[in-house]
Amino acid sequence: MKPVGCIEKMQRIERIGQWALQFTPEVCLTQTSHGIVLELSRCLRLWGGLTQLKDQLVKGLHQFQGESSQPGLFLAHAPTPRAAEWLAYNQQLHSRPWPDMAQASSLHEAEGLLSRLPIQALHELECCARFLTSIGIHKLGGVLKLPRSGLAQRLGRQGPKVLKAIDQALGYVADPREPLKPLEHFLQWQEFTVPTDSCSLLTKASGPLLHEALAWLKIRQQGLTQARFILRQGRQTSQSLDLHLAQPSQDLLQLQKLWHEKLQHQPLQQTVHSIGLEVMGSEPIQGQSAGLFPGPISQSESLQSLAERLYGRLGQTGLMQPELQNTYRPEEAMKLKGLGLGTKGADKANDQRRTVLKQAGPGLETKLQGLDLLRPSWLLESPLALKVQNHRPQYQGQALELTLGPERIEAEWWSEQPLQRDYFVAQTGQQQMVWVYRTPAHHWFLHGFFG
Amino acid sequence: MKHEVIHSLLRQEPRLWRATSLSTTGLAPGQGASLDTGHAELNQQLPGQGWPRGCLTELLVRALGIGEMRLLAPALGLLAQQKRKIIFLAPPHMPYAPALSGLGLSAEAILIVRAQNTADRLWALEQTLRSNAFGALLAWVDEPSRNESLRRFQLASRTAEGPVFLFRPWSAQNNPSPAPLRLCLLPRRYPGLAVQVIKRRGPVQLDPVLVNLPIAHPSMQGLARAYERASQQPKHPALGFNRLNAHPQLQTSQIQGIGHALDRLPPSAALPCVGSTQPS
Repeated sequence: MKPVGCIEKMQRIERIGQWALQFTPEVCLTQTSHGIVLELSRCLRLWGGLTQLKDQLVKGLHQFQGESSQPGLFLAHAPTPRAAEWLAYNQQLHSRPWPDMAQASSLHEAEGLLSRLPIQALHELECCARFLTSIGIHKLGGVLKLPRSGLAQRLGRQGPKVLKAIDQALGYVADPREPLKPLEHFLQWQEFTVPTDSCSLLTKASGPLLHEALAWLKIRQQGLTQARFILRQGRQTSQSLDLHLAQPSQDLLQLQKLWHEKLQHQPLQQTVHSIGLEVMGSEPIQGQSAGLFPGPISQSESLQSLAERLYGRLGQTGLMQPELQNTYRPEEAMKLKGLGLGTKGADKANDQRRTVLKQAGPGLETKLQGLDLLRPSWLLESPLALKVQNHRPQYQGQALELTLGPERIEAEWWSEQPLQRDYFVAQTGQQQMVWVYRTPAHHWFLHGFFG
Repeated sequence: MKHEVIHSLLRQEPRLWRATSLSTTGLAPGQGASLDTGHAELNQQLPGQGWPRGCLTELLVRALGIGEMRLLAPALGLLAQQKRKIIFLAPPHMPYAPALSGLGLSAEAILIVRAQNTADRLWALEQTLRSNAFGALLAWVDEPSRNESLRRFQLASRTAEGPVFLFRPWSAQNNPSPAPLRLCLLPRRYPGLAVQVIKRRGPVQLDPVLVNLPIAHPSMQGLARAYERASQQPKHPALGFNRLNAHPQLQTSQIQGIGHALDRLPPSAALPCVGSTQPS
């Protein structure tokens, strides 16, 4: 059993505990609820040793530190939870905050360190501290030297409790504890000391919240797809802003950037007292194999982050991908869809579509690919009505010269608006190649350009 | 002595070249090799023998439909084959995927970015340039575009790995631009297109380059051949022109709004004028 004890203020300690669940599944609050104990002996190898793990812990705990006026965190590492707890108290007594850490790697070493601890540092010995100092014992080492039975007799009713605590610290007796349960649903708040409407402050405040949310998701091996920021303004009013992600993400910086982007384009109704973060959606995230050498970020990855930024500001129509449709109606032969699916999913969907097309008939797909049909590279979203003079359509004051055609497109005779158009390729006075059509009523429309 | 120094510098430093010759690489430091345009006659006129990567290339087009996509198609098709994305940013009309796939641009390779207002469009363009998430970027900006924003785009495009094409109207050619390569696309008889280089890293090029563009569709082949025949036939004695060739090839100087490259003579050619104004 190699736990690390951290001592901190009561309010945030449980949040830190929840956050620390990503390092080990066994996280316990101490009896005084001033600290948390992590059981690390079984996961040290996973995190690359104690030094690496400590670096990660310290880096993560930075987020909880907040303003400098907050009381510090004290770290200790020992083979038993009680010893770690006591050593951490001692760190606090000597005001040696993190990243300084008291370390005892073996039981023997722990006994050496513990025997030098002053009695006041030990919460469990508080009840008999007065008696011990009165007989001239100031350190735990002195208590250990006393005959056990005699000490138990002198301490009376407190005796078994004190001796059990000392035995647990030295590893003679088991020390079972109730582990912390992970939250079912993530919703956390961050309060501002002064109400604010500053965009940069709100972005900064989102950092610790996102940090906690990502730790919570990490336990579930999931990535964030949808999050809701709740800005509480005054007692009743609150404003909520949603973040949507195309791909499940575990990247704090990316999320913070997105949130910043979102905030910049969202007028705040009032100054904000506190900000809350709720995880609305998450999906399992695939681990990525790390490369031996740091390489450039792949284009598909940067495309994903670009897509998220564009969606964040421009809405769901910001970035679209064309999709070919199996129809003769030119304006419907291509549809735009969002990039919502991951690239892998999209490929799969395309493959499925292809197999369906193959089953439908051999000619369909080639037609769909535009190899058979003459189509312009630019299509006008709404056809432009052309003036007609001397039975010839005019474009920008000049008569069009029809060069190829007609190609009749006739479809959906059963519908209320059947399509019947004669398409021509025409040349304008400026040598543009255009795609025009004539309706049965001899109205002319411009529908595209051959780029 | 001076010449030797210059020669040795030219040999040692690939970034230096003579103003009278086209630089062999024509690339800014840190820039990747250029992308083959697919048109041999155009490659010869471009510094680096192709579309430059990681810098802004301005294409000045009066209107769409003169062959601008067929000009870019070979290069874009190559990128699409490498599974790179071609991003169309705020195009004036819808890029029509069924036709573009005939030019080698599959629908999967195309992405379209659309934004409602000018500020969003400029923001989207800069974000896209910085993200470097594309094989090639074809962008349209609102005109008249401010020089500062163009300068920003030019700086942002330096990190891009692919070519960046900025489509601008013809009228923009007389305004200065930070883009290192500016090409004017002049309409020609159907399969052809004339490209006039109005700015490049190299000597001034006066004559437009005639590029034989690929024909997008087999049925257009017949059209191209008909034009070919019409141009070879003697003109109709009574009408004075062929029916098919009703719009004779426009001369550069005839096209309204084109400042001819001669307007921008090198300073040495302008010297005699200065001399004549001096009192005798």
